Amino acid sequence: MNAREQLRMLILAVLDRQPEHGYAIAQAINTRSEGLLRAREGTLYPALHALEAEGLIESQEHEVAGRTRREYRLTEKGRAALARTRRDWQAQVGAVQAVLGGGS
Amino acid sequence: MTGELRSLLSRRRQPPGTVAEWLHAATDGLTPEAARRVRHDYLNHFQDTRAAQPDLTHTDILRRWGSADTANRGLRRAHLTVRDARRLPPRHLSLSGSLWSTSAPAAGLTVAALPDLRRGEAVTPFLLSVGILTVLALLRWWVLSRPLPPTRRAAASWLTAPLSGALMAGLVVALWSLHTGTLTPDRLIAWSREPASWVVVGYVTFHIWRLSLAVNASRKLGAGTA
Repeated sequence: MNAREQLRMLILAVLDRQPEHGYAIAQAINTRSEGLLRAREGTLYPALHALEAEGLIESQEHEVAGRTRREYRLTEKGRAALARTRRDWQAQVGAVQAVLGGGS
Repeated sequence: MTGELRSLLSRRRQPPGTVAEWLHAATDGLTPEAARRVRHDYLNHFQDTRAAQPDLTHTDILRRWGSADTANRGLRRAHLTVRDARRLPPRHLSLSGSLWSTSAPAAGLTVAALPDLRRGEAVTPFLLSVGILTVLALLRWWVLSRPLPPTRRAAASWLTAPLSGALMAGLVVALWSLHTGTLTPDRLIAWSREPASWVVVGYVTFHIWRLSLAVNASRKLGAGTA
């Protein structure tokens, strides 16, 4: 899984909890990873827009305090994709763990 | 070191100094609608960042955003570009416009067939080819004046395009000529060695390649309008 795929998985995982706008997604990735992971805005929005184009997420504009905000939410297709990606990721982590554990 | 050298050599590599410059580079080549959407998202993000972390300068924020060129590459994958938009079929097509668009290939076919027609030869394949072109023009108008999903619309537009019609008509003429013996396999092989045949094959390949470009562009359009 490359960096782009990892970012897509992280976005889907954040949106699995609740719909969020772009800034909150970036913050959630940073906070939940205790500052270890940071989604650069230069790659965050292209990833968000690509996920939307693929129908994995959808967005809607809201008027909040005089500003138009775009909120992203997971679709059913996105939920299924996230479940698949989680399984793949767990399998990869398990495989790497098995190798690391066997090296001692 | 390499990065510094690149910055000196190319103006495009200079990091954008303002948010407007960054957005200009990131939305380069996108359609106005897509660029508007991208700018809206980034400007909202910028305001959120400024509200949450007022001590950050514009430069700090832009450094966090990363390369505008990288963003542009990613955005071009997700959004319709100006070039993509040119590859899309027309939104509206009139019957007269559709019939008019076949006039060029029909005229070309007539000029090419004129020596044979004067001798009274190849009249049937010529009429058949002109008939195919006319039917395609009517079919094109009928199909494209109906609501269709973007990818189907792109494929239908390509299939019924005058050039596609001319290709099919050319194929009909070639097969007819092979059948009647006017064209022999030896002559066809000899023709394939001539530079003119490479131009024809090259153009046909280009036309077929345009189908995949149009379908890709319409996928983005479909995603954008879904």
